[in-house]
Amino acid sequence: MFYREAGTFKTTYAEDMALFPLPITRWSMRVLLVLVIAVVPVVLHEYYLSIFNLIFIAIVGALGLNILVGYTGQISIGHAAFMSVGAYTAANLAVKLGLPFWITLPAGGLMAAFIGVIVGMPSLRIKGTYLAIATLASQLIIEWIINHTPAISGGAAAAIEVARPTIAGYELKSQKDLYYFTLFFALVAIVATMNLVRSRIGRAFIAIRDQDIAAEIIGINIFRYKLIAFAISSFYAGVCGVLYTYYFGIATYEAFQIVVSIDYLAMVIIGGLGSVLGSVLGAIFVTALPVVIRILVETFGGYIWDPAALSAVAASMRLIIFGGLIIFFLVVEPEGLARLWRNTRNYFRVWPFSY
Amino acid sequence: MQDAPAQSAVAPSAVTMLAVNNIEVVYDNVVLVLKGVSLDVKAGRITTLLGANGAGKSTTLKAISGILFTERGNITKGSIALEGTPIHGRRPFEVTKLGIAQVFEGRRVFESLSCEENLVAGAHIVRDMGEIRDGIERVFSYFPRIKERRNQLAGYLSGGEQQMLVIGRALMSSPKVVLLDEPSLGLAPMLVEEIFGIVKRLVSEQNLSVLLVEQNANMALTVADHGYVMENGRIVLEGSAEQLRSNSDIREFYLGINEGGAKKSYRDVKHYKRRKRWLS
Amino acid sequence: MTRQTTAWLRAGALAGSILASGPALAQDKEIVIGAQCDRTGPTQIVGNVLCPAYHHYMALVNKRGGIEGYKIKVLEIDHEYKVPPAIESHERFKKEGAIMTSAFGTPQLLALLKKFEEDKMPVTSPGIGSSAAADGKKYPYVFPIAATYWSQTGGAVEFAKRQLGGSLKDKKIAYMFFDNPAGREPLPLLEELAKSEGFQMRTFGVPSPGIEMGAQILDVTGRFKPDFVIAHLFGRAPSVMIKELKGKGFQLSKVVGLVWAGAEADIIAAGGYGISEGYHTIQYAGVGGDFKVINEIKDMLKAEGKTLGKEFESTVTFNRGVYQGAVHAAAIANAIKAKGGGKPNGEDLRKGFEQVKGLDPSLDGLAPPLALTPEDHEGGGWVQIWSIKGGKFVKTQDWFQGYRKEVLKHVEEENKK
Repeated sequence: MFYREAGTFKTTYAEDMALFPLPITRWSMRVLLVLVIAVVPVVLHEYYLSIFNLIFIAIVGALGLNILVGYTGQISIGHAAFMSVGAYTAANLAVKLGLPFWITLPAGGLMAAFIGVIVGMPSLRIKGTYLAIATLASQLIIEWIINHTPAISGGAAAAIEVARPTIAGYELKSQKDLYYFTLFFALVAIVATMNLVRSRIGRAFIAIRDQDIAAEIIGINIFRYKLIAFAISSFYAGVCGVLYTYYFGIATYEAFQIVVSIDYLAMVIIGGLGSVLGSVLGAIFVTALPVVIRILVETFGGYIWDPAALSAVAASMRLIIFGGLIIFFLVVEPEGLARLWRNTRNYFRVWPFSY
Repeated sequence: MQDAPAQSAVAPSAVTMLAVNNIEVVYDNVVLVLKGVSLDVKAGRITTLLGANGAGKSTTLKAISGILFTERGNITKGSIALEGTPIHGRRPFEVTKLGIAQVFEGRRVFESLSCEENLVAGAHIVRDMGEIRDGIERVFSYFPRIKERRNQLAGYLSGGEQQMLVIGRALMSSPKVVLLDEPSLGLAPMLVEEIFGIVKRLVSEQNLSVLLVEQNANMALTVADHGYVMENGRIVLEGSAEQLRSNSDIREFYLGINEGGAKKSYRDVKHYKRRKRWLS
Repeated sequence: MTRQTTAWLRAGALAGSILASGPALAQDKEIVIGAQCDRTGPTQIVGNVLCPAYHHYMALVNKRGGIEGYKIKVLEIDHEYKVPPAIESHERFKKEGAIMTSAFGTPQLLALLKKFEEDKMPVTSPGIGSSAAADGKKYPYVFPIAATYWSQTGGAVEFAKRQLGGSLKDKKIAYMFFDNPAGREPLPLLEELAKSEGFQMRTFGVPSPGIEMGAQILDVTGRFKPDFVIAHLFGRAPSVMIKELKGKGFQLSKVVGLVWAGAEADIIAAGGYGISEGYHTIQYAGVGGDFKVINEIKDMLKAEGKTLGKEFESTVTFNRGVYQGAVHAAAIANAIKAKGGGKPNGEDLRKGFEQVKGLDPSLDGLAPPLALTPEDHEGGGWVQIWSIKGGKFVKTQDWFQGYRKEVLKHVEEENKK
């Protein structure tokens, strides 16, 4: 009932094109920004900040994957491989050339984008399941190359230690420092994506997804735009990989194996394909929900199970409940959490009437 | 082309916008679909292409727009020229940039975009914001129904509205030639009339040239200036709409009217058609 | 666009719910240990035995009255062999007052390496992580506490030498390895030993997941025809290798597997003890249930009216869990004593680890003659050879250090890079 469009009139094109056209959204966004910037890091214990950090990094990666899968309709099971490309590019630049993060981070993204374009080439000819297999192959090929090229992987252990990022001589190393670091990039990624999908390029992506032939006929060079989608998506993945690298303090390809690709696909599908909010919600869901479930089981499970066996129970319960919730949410709303939210909002928009 | 040495009703002064010259199209390298098709689209006129299912009408349009390539088709012979510039063998987006817009049969709107966004997307090759806004206003002036629904998702529109939207979207690239494929498909007669009325207005007011593919021959010949009839991958008849309307074969097969002016039963038409072919 | 609005609102709500259910902080006379584990991921076959064994041993320690008056509390988090949950678990352990971590999984350990150092929290990594971490000067907070892959490889080559009559001159040794960083780690050491001992070495990489190695086996048995095979495989791969080598008529008494290729589960999966007869394994903890500490654990559980779980069936992995617990207990005892009974922090515990020499006497025979020092966090790199003979694991060679000098040299070289 607070969510009202009535009374908001747009008199200029600029108003019509604003990211948040409604005053209520603008206000809640401001409140939220204050919350995440000024309140959360001050009030919460470092432990919770570490979860936020993982979520923020995941948001960057999930947004990238959603641009490709959700907005352009090109499936990819090789997202984690692009992260590792970004991670190793940044790690090598940081260690061998001693470059700071504000150079290695975009460099990692660009390198991933470059590889992404190459991997995206088959998308001109193949679609759907076939493209999935092609990207799966590229995941394995990239893994193999990193694993077997000491010049990239830094030796047999295929791990390169990287110093913490520094800003003006200040080393970002506590979870709180890293919170601002990851939050910054998550916010940039969110705003950039929201603008991207409303731009000419974004509309071309959606046109390709909805009707690829019709898209071609209105003058969209499909091949070029598919490659742009792969490039942008991989750029996000690369940046995500670099963020992981600085967050872990090490680049290791074992942190970017195929399971990670699957995890990110799960994020965008559960959150909602073709939705910025969906990417954010999906990242939160997949990263934080297992933690919440485990804490709940640990806290209340003692009444049901033998406390000594609780750690074993918590592990399996987490899997069962997490899997069950994924199925539950997808059955309730196949289009994901973002759609679920939109439905709720629309309900309250006309409240107390039904429509 | 034995039948129709052009005694066109169209004034000879009309400029040829689009010339298709004796093209042959092969699918998958083996299936010959068009066996030498030639036709002209005159500037500022509606040209219609009639024919039964599978005659090769849609393939002709796809050959012009270049979309054939993505369907594994190939132009093996002949040429297509827009105002004298050869365009065959080009990628669809290039053809669009040169000034040809195609409206597919089956109303392919971008379901998840709003009507207005569909139009903006249609102006992909236009980069000037002011020009895009003018284009939108122009489309809205012809299709007030779309204006009413400008912020609705295109997927929620009715069939007729979707058809209007895709025509409007095609106009957004400011084309010289519009290829219209079966705009009447699955629509109520009243809507069909409304849409054709708008098309006719568009042609005269916006100086468009239209190549119209239709099953509804009656309707097509009412709005068109000139017409071609296709069968089995060939053009078998050509003439002004006037001439075609009065052609006895056309009356038999496409309009379902016999010599006496009375409607013939479908059964008889079929029988007759089996017996007589235009081409050996 | 209220989409973002809600995203953050939800994140806030989530954090709130976690806050509300946060467990209480550590007690005064309690030492908290954080144990990472994988009970549900790809290495669950190890985790589901090793982690319970560790818990059992710590329960036994508490039942005996704790360590110097302190009770041990083990927090366990299952990270499913994924890196982000491992990060989260570390912060959680820290929040709950843990002063050390028991790591599980190489990628997880690597991703936290820096954190352990920054948080001054010792971490143990028996059987995982990089061999170079044995150097306490370079990695002050990492304690492999058991033979690293290099020490295991040294042991394997020395064992081969002994089996082949005391000289490796002009002998042929095949190295079958899982084609990942861990599998490739011993390569430089092997190459050097091949040079100094004069044997011919050829490597056979098995790609993940290691269940298809027909080509490599044919190469080994049909063309290279080695005098000895050293296998460094994980997961299902060891059992496949045993089965395939046996199928080609290769003598398994000429094969030795490193520590992750030699648990009961591997033998059973290969088709049982009959098929695996003769196969040798490198071990960093004793095998079998015939140790005082194991019986004590069993008695304790029986006295509590509990049934013995499935974990007791896999003694190789179980004993490793117990061994790990005993090293932790010894280090904690050192740390408390050094503080004169005060409660140690992570830094104190690190020093405690660096003085571990001799463990809980009930582990006699199960544990190596371990001696951790500020330089040597591996504790000597001791290994045993256990072989399949007459349908069970039999000790073939007692604790020894294989090519210790060469291994140490490699550690030093690697850390100079």
